[in-house]
Amino acid sequence: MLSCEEVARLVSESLDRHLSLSERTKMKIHHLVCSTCKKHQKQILFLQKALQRFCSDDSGVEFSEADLKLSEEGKLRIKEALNNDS
Amino acid sequence: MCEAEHFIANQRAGGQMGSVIPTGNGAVEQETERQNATAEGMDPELWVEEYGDDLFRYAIRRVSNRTEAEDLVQETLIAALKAQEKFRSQSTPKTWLIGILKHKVMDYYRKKGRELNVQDVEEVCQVSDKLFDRKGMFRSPGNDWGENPEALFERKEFWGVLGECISNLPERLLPVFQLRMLQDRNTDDVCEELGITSNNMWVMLHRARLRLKTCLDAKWFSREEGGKTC
Repeated sequence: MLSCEEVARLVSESLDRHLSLSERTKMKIHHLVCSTCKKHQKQILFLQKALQRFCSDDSGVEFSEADLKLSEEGKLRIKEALNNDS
Repeated sequence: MCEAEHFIANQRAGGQMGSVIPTGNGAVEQETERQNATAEGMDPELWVEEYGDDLFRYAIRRVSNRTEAEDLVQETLIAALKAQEKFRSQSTPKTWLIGILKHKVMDYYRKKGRELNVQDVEEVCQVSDKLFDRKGMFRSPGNDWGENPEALFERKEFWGVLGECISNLPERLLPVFQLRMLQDRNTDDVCEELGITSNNMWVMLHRARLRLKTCLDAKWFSREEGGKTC
Protein backbone atom coordinates (compact mmCIF):
# COMPACT_ATOMS: atom_id res chain seq x y z
CA MET A 1 0.00 0.00 0.00
CA LEU A 2 1.13 3.52 -0.73
CA SER A 3 2.32 5.76 2.09
CA CYS A 4 0.43 8.93 2.99
CA GLU A 5 3.24 10.93 1.45
CA GLU A 6 2.93 9.11 -1.86
CA VAL A 7 -0.84 9.49 -1.82
CA ALA A 8 -0.52 13.21 -1.08
CA ARG A 9 1.71 13.53 -4.10
CA LEU A 10 -0.88 11.77 -6.27
CA VAL A 11 -3.60 14.04 -4.92
CA SER A 12 -1.58 17.04 -6.01
CA GLU A 13 -0.69 15.53 -9.38
CA SER A 14 -4.32 14.70 -10.06
CA LEU A 15 -4.77 18.46 -10.44
CA ASP A 16 -2.08 18.68 -13.10
CA ARG A 17 -2.23 15.45 -15.05
CA HIS A 18 -4.42 12.47 -15.73
CA LEU A 19 -3.70 9.73 -13.20
CA SER A 20 -3.53 6.16 -14.46
CA LEU A 21 -6.23 3.70 -13.48
CA SER A 22 -3.80 1.95 -11.19
CA GLU A 23 -2.81 5.21 -9.50
CA ARG A 24 -6.42 6.19 -8.99
CA THR A 25 -7.26 2.81 -7.57
CA LYS A 26 -4.35 2.86 -5.15
CA MET A 27 -5.29 6.34 -4.04
CA LYS A 28 -8.92 5.37 -3.51
CA ILE A 29 -8.03 2.29 -1.53
CA HIS A 30 -5.74 4.34 0.68
CA HIS A 31 -8.45 6.94 1.21
CA LEU A 32 -10.87 4.23 2.31
CA VAL A 33 -8.68 3.30 5.22
CA CYS A 34 -6.91 6.58 6.05
CA SER A 35 -9.13 9.41 7.20
CA THR A 36 -6.19 11.80 7.53
CA CYS A 37 -5.35 11.42 3.84
CA LYS A 38 -8.99 11.72 2.87
CA LYS A 39 -9.13 14.95 4.83
CA HIS A 40 -5.89 16.12 3.25
CA GLN A 41 -7.36 15.51 -0.19
CA LYS A 42 -10.44 17.58 0.63
CA GLN A 43 -8.24 20.38 1.90
CA ILE A 44 -6.07 20.39 -1.20
CA LEU A 45 -9.15 20.47 -3.43
CA PHE A 46 -10.52 23.32 -1.35
CA LEU A 47 -7.20 25.13 -1.67
CA GLN A 48 -7.34 24.70 -5.44
CA LYS A 49 -10.81 26.26 -5.54
CA ALA A 50 -9.69 29.08 -3.28
CA LEU A 51 -6.71 29.84 -5.52
CA GLN A 52 -8.92 29.91 -8.59
CA ARG A 53 -11.24 32.34 -6.83
CA PHE A 54 -8.31 34.34 -5.59
CA CYS A 55 -7.40 35.04 -9.18
CA SER A 56 -10.82 35.63 -10.59
CA ASP A 57 -12.70 38.87 -10.32
CA ASP A 58 -15.73 37.34 -8.69
CA SER A 59 -14.02 36.10 -5.57
CA GLY A 60 -17.36 36.56 -3.83
CA VAL A 61 -15.75 38.78 -1.23
CA GLU A 62 -18.08 41.48 -0.10
CA PHE A 63 -16.47 44.84 -0.48
CA SER A 64 -18.29 48.07 0.09
CA GLU A 65 -18.41 50.47 -2.85
CA ALA A 66 -15.81 52.71 -1.27
CA ASP A 67 -13.53 49.72 -0.70
CA LEU A 68 -13.43 49.09 -4.42
CA LYS A 69 -12.50 52.57 -5.53
CA LEU A 70 -9.29 54.47 -5.56
CA SER A 71 -9.32 57.10 -2.89
CA GLU A 72 -9.12 60.71 -4.04
CA GLU A 73 -5.69 61.04 -2.43
CA GLY A 74 -4.64 57.88 -4.21
CA LYS A 75 -5.75 59.26 -7.54
CA LEU A 76 -3.86 62.50 -6.97
CA ARG A 77 -0.76 60.65 -5.95
CA ILE A 78 -0.89 58.44 -9.04
CA LYS A 79 -1.53 61.36 -11.37
CA GLU A 80 1.42 63.16 -9.90
CA ALA A 81 3.63 60.11 -10.36
CA LEU A 82 2.48 59.74 -13.97
CA ASN A 83 3.16 63.37 -14.73
CA ASN A 84 6.59 63.16 -13.18
CA ASP A 85 7.29 60.14 -15.27
CA SER A 86 6.06 61.38 -18.61
CA MET B 1 13.43 13.25 1.02
CA CYS B 2 15.34 16.19 -0.33
CA GLU B 3 15.86 15.14 -3.92
CA ALA B 4 13.59 17.97 -5.01
CA GLU B 5 16.16 20.47 -3.80
CA HIS B 6 18.50 19.67 -6.65
CA PHE B 7 16.24 20.23 -9.55
CA ILE B 8 14.48 23.12 -7.90
CA ALA B 9 17.90 24.67 -7.62
CA ASN B 10 18.58 23.89 -11.25
CA GLN B 11 15.50 25.46 -12.66
CA ARG B 12 15.90 28.69 -14.44
CA ALA B 13 14.82 31.48 -12.16
CA GLY B 14 11.62 32.99 -13.46
CA GLY B 15 12.89 36.54 -13.65
CA GLN B 16 11.55 37.03 -17.12
CA MET B 17 7.96 37.21 -16.09
CA GLY B 18 7.86 40.64 -14.58
CA SER B 19 9.07 42.47 -17.62
CA VAL B 20 6.64 41.13 -20.16
CA ILE B 21 4.04 43.59 -21.35
CA PRO B 22 1.17 41.57 -22.76
CA THR B 23 -0.58 42.74 -25.89
CA GLY B 24 -3.85 41.38 -24.56
CA ASN B 25 -6.59 39.49 -26.33
CA GLY B 26 -9.64 39.94 -24.17
CA ALA B 27 -12.42 40.28 -26.68
CA VAL B 28 -14.80 39.14 -23.96
CA GLU B 29 -14.92 42.47 -22.26
CA GLN B 30 -15.19 44.32 -25.51
CA GLU B 31 -18.91 44.97 -25.42
CA THR B 32 -18.73 46.63 -22.05
CA GLU B 33 -15.98 48.89 -23.27
CA ARG B 34 -16.18 51.96 -25.37
CA GLN B 35 -15.71 50.48 -28.82
CA ASN B 36 -13.37 53.09 -30.11
CA ALA B 37 -11.41 53.60 -26.94
CA THR B 38 -7.71 53.84 -27.36
CA ALA B 39 -5.03 54.14 -24.77
CA GLU B 40 -2.53 55.59 -27.16
CA GLY B 41 -2.05 59.27 -26.95
CA MET B 42 -4.47 59.49 -24.08
CA ASP B 43 -3.73 61.86 -21.26
CA PRO B 44 -2.39 59.73 -18.38
CA GLU B 45 -4.54 61.70 -16.00
CA LEU B 46 -7.55 60.46 -17.90
CA TRP B 47 -6.31 56.90 -17.54
CA VAL B 48 -6.53 57.31 -13.81
CA GLU B 49 -10.09 58.56 -14.06
CA GLU B 50 -11.15 56.06 -16.69
CA TYR B 51 -9.46 52.85 -15.54
CA GLY B 52 -8.14 53.59 -12.07
CA ASP B 53 -11.06 52.05 -10.22
CA ASP B 54 -11.15 48.94 -12.41
CA LEU B 55 -7.48 48.35 -11.82
CA PHE B 56 -7.80 49.06 -8.15
CA ARG B 57 -10.70 46.62 -7.83
CA TYR B 58 -8.55 43.91 -9.38
CA ALA B 59 -5.58 44.73 -7.17
CA ILE B 60 -7.35 45.05 -3.83
CA ARG B 61 -8.61 41.48 -4.13
CA ARG B 62 -5.10 40.19 -4.46
CA VAL B 63 -3.01 42.15 -2.01
CA SER B 64 -3.45 42.84 1.63
CA ASN B 65 -4.16 46.55 1.86
CA ARG B 66 -5.26 49.67 0.02
CA THR B 67 -1.85 51.31 -0.10
CA GLU B 68 -0.28 48.30 -1.74
CA ALA B 69 -3.16 48.07 -4.20
CA GLU B 70 -2.80 51.76 -5.07
CA ASP B 71 0.94 51.32 -5.53
CA LEU B 72 0.26 48.50 -7.97
CA VAL B 73 -2.18 50.65 -9.94
CA GLN B 74 0.45 53.36 -10.10
CA GLU B 75 3.18 50.98 -11.26
CA THR B 76 0.82 49.56 -13.85
CA LEU B 77 -0.04 52.94 -15.32
CA ILE B 78 3.60 54.00 -15.38
CA ALA B 79 4.53 50.79 -17.17
CA ALA B 80 1.65 51.36 -19.59
CA LEU B 81 2.80 54.89 -20.25
CA LYS B 82 6.23 53.62 -21.19
CA ALA B 83 4.85 50.90 -23.40
CA GLN B 84 2.02 52.73 -25.14
CA GLU B 85 3.18 51.69 -28.55
CA LYS B 86 2.77 48.05 -27.59
CA PHE B 87 -0.91 48.53 -27.14
CA ARG B 88 -2.84 46.79 -29.88
CA SER B 89 -6.26 47.96 -30.74
CA GLN B 90 -7.67 44.42 -30.89
CA SER B 91 -7.54 44.53 -27.12
CA THR B 92 -9.44 47.06 -25.08
CA PRO B 93 -7.35 49.46 -23.02
CA LYS B 94 -8.84 47.99 -19.87
CA THR B 95 -7.90 44.43 -20.82
CA TRP B 96 -4.45 45.57 -21.76
CA LEU B 97 -3.97 47.43 -18.49
CA ILE B 98 -5.28 44.50 -16.44
CA GLY B 99 -2.77 42.30 -18.27
CA ILE B 100 0.03 44.56 -17.11
CA LEU B 101 -1.40 44.67 -13.62
CA LYS B 102 -1.40 40.86 -13.46
CA HIS B 103 2.33 40.90 -14.01
CA LYS B 104 2.74 43.59 -11.39
CA VAL B 105 0.82 41.48 -8.90
CA MET B 106 3.13 38.56 -9.62
CA ASP B 107 6.15 40.78 -9.18
CA TYR B 108 4.70 41.92 -5.89
CA TYR B 109 4.49 38.35 -4.65
CA ARG B 110 7.91 37.53 -5.98
CA LYS B 111 9.39 40.49 -4.16
CA LYS B 112 7.56 39.63 -0.98
CA GLY B 113 8.71 36.07 -1.25
CA ARG B 114 12.27 37.26 -1.68
CA GLU B 115 12.15 39.58 1.30
CA LEU B 116 10.67 36.99 3.56
CA ASN B 117 12.55 33.98 2.44
CA VAL B 118 16.18 34.89 2.13
CA GLN B 119 17.07 32.24 4.67
CA ASP B 120 14.46 29.89 3.44
CA VAL B 121 16.39 27.87 0.90
CA GLU B 122 16.92 24.74 2.92
CA GLU B 123 13.42 24.85 4.19
CA VAL B 124 12.09 23.87 0.77
CA CYS B 125 12.68 20.27 1.70
CA GLN B 126 11.41 20.49 5.19
CA VAL B 127 7.71 20.80 4.48
CA SER B 128 7.51 17.10 3.79
CA ASP B 129 9.70 16.31 6.76
CA LYS B 130 7.42 18.31 8.99
CA LEU B 131 4.25 16.74 7.68
CA PHE B 132 5.33 13.14 7.25
CA ASP B 133 7.31 10.76 9.41
CA ARG B 134 10.03 8.42 8.16
CA LYS B 135 7.53 5.90 6.95
CA GLY B 136 5.73 8.59 5.00
CA MET B 137 2.74 8.67 7.32
CA PHE B 138 1.15 11.98 8.34
CA ARG B 139 2.61 12.98 11.69
CA SER B 140 -0.61 14.63 12.78
CA PRO B 141 -4.16 14.58 11.46
CA GLY B 142 -4.13 18.40 11.39
CA ASN B 143 -7.06 20.69 11.99
CA ASP B 144 -10.53 20.00 10.78
CA TRP B 145 -11.49 22.57 8.15
CA GLY B 146 -15.20 22.02 8.61
CA GLU B 147 -17.88 20.70 6.30
CA ASN B 148 -18.15 23.79 4.18
CA PRO B 149 -14.91 25.77 4.11
CA GLU B 150 -16.15 27.42 0.88
CA ALA B 151 -18.20 29.70 3.12
CA LEU B 152 -14.87 31.42 3.84
CA PHE B 153 -14.84 32.77 0.30
CA GLU B 154 -17.22 35.44 1.55
CA ARG B 155 -14.74 36.67 4.12
CA LYS B 156 -12.23 39.29 3.22
CA GLU B 157 -9.87 38.33 6.05
CA PHE B 158 -9.58 34.86 4.61
CA TRP B 159 -8.23 36.23 1.32
CA GLY B 160 -5.78 38.33 3.29
CA VAL B 161 -4.46 35.23 5.03
CA LEU B 162 -4.29 33.29 1.77
CA GLY B 163 -2.37 36.18 0.20
CA GLU B 164 -0.01 36.19 3.13
CA CYS B 165 0.56 32.46 2.76
CA ILE B 166 1.28 32.90 -0.95
CA SER B 167 3.80 35.60 -0.15
CA ASN B 168 5.47 33.17 2.24
CA LEU B 169 6.14 30.61 -0.45
CA PRO B 170 9.85 30.19 -1.09
CA GLU B 171 11.06 32.06 -4.10
CA ARG B 172 12.05 28.87 -5.85
CA LEU B 173 8.49 27.68 -5.95
CA LEU B 174 6.99 30.97 -7.06
CA PRO B 175 7.50 30.93 -10.84
CA VAL B 176 5.82 27.55 -11.22
CA PHE B 177 3.14 28.45 -8.75
CA GLN B 178 2.37 31.77 -10.41
CA LEU B 179 2.15 30.42 -13.91
CA ARG B 180 0.18 27.33 -13.09
CA MET B 181 -2.04 28.38 -10.23
CA LEU B 182 -2.39 32.11 -10.48
CA GLN B 183 -2.41 32.39 -14.26
CA ASP B 184 -3.99 29.01 -14.85
CA ARG B 185 -1.61 28.19 -17.69
CA ASN B 186 -1.56 24.65 -18.96
CA THR B 187 1.16 22.33 -17.76
CA ASP B 188 3.02 22.08 -21.09
CA ASP B 189 3.27 25.86 -21.23
CA VAL B 190 4.61 26.06 -17.70
CA CYS B 191 7.31 23.47 -18.37
CA GLU B 192 8.30 25.10 -21.62
CA GLU B 193 8.42 28.61 -20.23
CA LEU B 194 10.51 27.64 -17.22
CA GLY B 195 12.59 25.01 -18.95
CA ILE B 196 11.73 22.26 -16.49
CA THR B 197 10.48 18.68 -16.86
CA SER B 198 6.94 17.66 -16.01
CA ASN B 199 8.23 15.76 -13.06
CA ASN B 200 9.99 18.83 -11.67
CA MET B 201 6.86 20.84 -12.11
CA TRP B 202 4.69 18.29 -10.32
CA VAL B 203 7.05 18.17 -7.38
CA MET B 204 7.20 21.94 -7.11
CA LEU B 205 3.44 22.32 -7.34
CA HIS B 206 3.02 19.59 -4.77
CA ARG B 207 5.39 21.36 -2.40
CA ALA B 208 3.72 24.71 -2.95
CA ARG B 209 0.32 23.18 -2.18
CA LEU B 210 1.63 21.44 0.93
CA ARG B 211 3.05 24.71 2.13
CA LEU B 212 -0.09 26.68 1.45
CA LYS B 213 -2.18 24.05 3.15
CA THR B 214 0.10 24.03 6.18
CA CYS B 215 0.13 27.81 6.29
CA LEU B 216 -3.67 28.11 6.07
CA ASP B 217 -4.01 25.37 8.64
CA ALA B 218 -1.78 27.26 11.07
CA LYS B 219 -2.84 30.82 10.34
CA TRP B 220 -6.52 30.40 9.80
CA PHE B 221 -7.90 27.07 10.86
CA SER B 222 -6.08 26.69 14.15
CA ARG B 223 -7.25 30.20 15.02
CA GLU B 224 -10.82 29.51 13.97
CA GLU B 225 -11.11 26.09 15.45
CA GLY B 226 -8.99 26.71 18.48
CA GLY B 227 -6.41 24.22 17.27
CA LYS B 228 -8.66 21.26 17.63
CA THR B 229 -7.83 18.00 15.89
CA CYS B 230 -10.19 15.16 15.23
